[in-house]
Amino acid sequence: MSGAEAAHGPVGGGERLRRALADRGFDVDVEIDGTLAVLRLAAQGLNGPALADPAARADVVRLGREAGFTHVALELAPPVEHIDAAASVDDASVHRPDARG
Amino acid sequence: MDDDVRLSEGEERLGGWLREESGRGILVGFSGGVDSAYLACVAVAVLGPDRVLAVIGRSPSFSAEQRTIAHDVAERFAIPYVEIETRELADARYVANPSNRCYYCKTELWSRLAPLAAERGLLLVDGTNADDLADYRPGAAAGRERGVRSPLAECDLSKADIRALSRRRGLPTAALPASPCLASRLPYGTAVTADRLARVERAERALRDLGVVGDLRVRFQGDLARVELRPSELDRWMEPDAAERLRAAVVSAGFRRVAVDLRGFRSGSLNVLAGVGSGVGG
Repeated sequence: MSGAEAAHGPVGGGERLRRALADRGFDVDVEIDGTLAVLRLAAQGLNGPALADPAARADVVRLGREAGFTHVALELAPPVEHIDAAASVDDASVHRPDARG
Repeated sequence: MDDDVRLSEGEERLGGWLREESGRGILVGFSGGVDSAYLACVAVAVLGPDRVLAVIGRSPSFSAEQRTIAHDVAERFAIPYVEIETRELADARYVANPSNRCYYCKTELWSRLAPLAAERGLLLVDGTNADDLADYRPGAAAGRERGVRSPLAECDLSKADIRALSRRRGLPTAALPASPCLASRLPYGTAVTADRLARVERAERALRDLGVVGDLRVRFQGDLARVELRPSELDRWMEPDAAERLRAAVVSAGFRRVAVDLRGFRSGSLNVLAGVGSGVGG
């Protein structure tokens, strides 16, 4: 599974929850602390707008309960920093493998 | 029976209890919460202010917001009060945060209030209500050991009754959300420190300042704050822009990471968490 599964969590619960959420189209990282599952929506964009929908939240909580968790929380991601790649990467810093090698 | 009549009878029972049982008067452990505010208010009306003393126990686990409410209620309803410092954080048994942590906190509180009551010949009372008797409340044992009486419970007044009767009296606490001490935000087994309590308090204050209303808890999970909001607030704060403002507010209070509980506020939420404290932050 992705994410850290600590001792005392429901055995295999993190992976079950991750798979169940993947079936619904959520690419999540599940971090476990006891019977708390902390979800990070890796590919869902800032803070997973889909979970602003109460029905979607209730569904996730239900899946968490079925996987053995008493609490399911969504970690709020900090804003994505947008880097101007053209400005921040100068030519000299680019590693160029030797084509001959 | 008509609910109004039933409530009036309940308050009459309380008045009778106070007249018969209090002797020279009462000293009430006063948090400014729904129960103790109502009890002190009725006691002043029934016994007169000279026979009532409300005592606020001040410590890092008692939030500044709650302290302000306690002062405001006492001032507005002419409840005589004093404030004393309690030092539960000096007790290693309390700091270790076992599941009976409240016992050590209340032991400290009542051990400071008992001499005050004895000096003045007052009966020690608390705001325990009839519903509380069915809950797991280790703090109640500390009160019983020191002879603390619970008039609201003894008169069979429930929390709902007390809120309704508080509304009748115009008490601002009538609709106040339950406000357990800040230590309740730390999972059992996680050491209670002034710094952690302050961090939780700052985070909850920051969220109130942001506009969060209703039940709110910032649960301490190491460097992660798990925020519990009431369901209608959850809808509002899960919108991306709002979520970012919420996150930033909690981070500004000293947490590195912020998570929102997807089920929302639950009273005693940490009681049902098993094995916490091992996997999220430090």
